[in-house]
Amino acid sequence: MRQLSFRAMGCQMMAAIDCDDAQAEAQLAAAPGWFEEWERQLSRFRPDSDLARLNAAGQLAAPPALWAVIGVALQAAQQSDGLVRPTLLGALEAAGYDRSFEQIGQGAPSAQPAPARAAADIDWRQIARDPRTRSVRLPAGARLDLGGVAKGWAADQAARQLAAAGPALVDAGGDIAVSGPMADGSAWPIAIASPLAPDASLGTLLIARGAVATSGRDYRTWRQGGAERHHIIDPRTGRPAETDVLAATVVAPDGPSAEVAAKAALILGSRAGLSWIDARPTLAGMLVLADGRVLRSRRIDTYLEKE
Amino acid sequence: MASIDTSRRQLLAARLKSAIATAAVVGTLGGWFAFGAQPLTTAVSTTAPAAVAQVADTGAAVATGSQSTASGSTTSAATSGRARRAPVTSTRSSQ
Repeated sequence: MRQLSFRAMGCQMMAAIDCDDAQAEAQLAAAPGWFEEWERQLSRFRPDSDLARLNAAGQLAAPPALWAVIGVALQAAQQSDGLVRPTLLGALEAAGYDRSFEQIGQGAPSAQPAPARAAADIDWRQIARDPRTRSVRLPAGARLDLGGVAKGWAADQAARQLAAAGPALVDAGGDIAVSGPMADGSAWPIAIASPLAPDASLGTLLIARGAVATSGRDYRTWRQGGAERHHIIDPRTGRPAETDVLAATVVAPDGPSAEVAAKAALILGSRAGLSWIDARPTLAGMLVLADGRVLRSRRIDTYLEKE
Repeated sequence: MASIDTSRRQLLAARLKSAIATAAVVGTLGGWFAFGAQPLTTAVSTTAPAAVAQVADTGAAVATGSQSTASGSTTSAATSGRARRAPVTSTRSSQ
C-alpha cells in the first residue's frame, strides 16, 4: 500500500492506494494538485477564489468544481430539510469564524459580521442555476460557505480518480471516502477517534464502499465575548448549535451524504439525531455525547469490527 | 545397474538439498539487503494479530500504520493474509 499525506483545505489530508507499483505512486503525487485546484475554486478564505468572487458579485459563470459542489450543497439542503444549507456564511462570521481557523488561533482581528439571524433567514431555495452556462445567481444578501460538503465531495472525487491505479482511500480531514474494497477484497479498516481523548479509538469501522464522516464541536472551537463558540451553525437560530452531541460519525454511500448526515445529527441532538439516522436506510452512525456516553444507530454494528 | 542408479539418485538429491538451502540463505540475505538499503521507503505491516489489534483500538497503532507519514512523502505498507488489520486512518472532526 502506498500513502501520501499533505495539507489542503485547512485540513490534514491522506491518500492511499492499495497497490505498490509506479502508477500508484504517480497517481498519489498528483493528488495535492487536484486539491489545490479545488481549493482555488471553493475556498471562502481566499479572496481570489471563484467562490469569493461569486459571494462578492452575487453571480458567476462557475468553473466545474464550484458548479458541482453548489449542486451537491443544494441537494444536501433539500435532503436535510434545510438543516445543512450553504447560505450560513454570514451566521458563521457572526459567530466569529470569519477567518481561517489558523488565523483565529493566531488572534487575527475579526471583521464586522452581518447579524446572525438575518444570515440564517436567507432562503437557499432562491439560489438560481443555469446548466447551459453554468451560471449561478445568489439571492440578495446571500453568501455561500461550502466547507464540509466541499471536503466530502473532494474525498469522493479524489478516491475515484486514484482508483485508476488501484483500490483507493482518501481522508480529507476526517471525511473519508473509498473507491471500493481493498485489493484482496476486504473492507478498509477505519478507526473512530474519540473526541474526548485524541489518542483513543471508539472502535474500527470496516468500510468497503462509500464514505464515513465525523462532525464535531470538539476541535474547531474559539471564544467570543467570553463564550465558547464552534463552527456548526443551527439554521433555526443562526447561532452555533446547542446540542448534547459532542461528535457524530456517519457511514453513508458517498462523502457529502456522510458529512451532511453527521452535521444534521449533531445539530438535532442525540435523541432526534439518532432517529434521523435510523429513518434513512443508507445511513449508520455513532454519537458521542458531551457527558461521555456513546450512542449507536441501528445499523452501525454492520460496519463495526467485532471485538 | 540398479544399485548405481540408486546411489546417483541419492547423490543428486543431496546436492539438490544443499543447493536449495544455499539459495534460501542467499535469497534471504539478498532480500534483506535490497529492501534495507532503500532510505525513502518504509515497509509497514498493516496486518496484526488479535492481541496487537487490541492495542490499535486504543489509537496507538493508528499512528504507526498511517498517521506517521511525513508530509508530502509516500510510504509503503506491506499487506498479507487475512489477519486483523490496523486501521489505515481514523475519522474525526475536521483537523
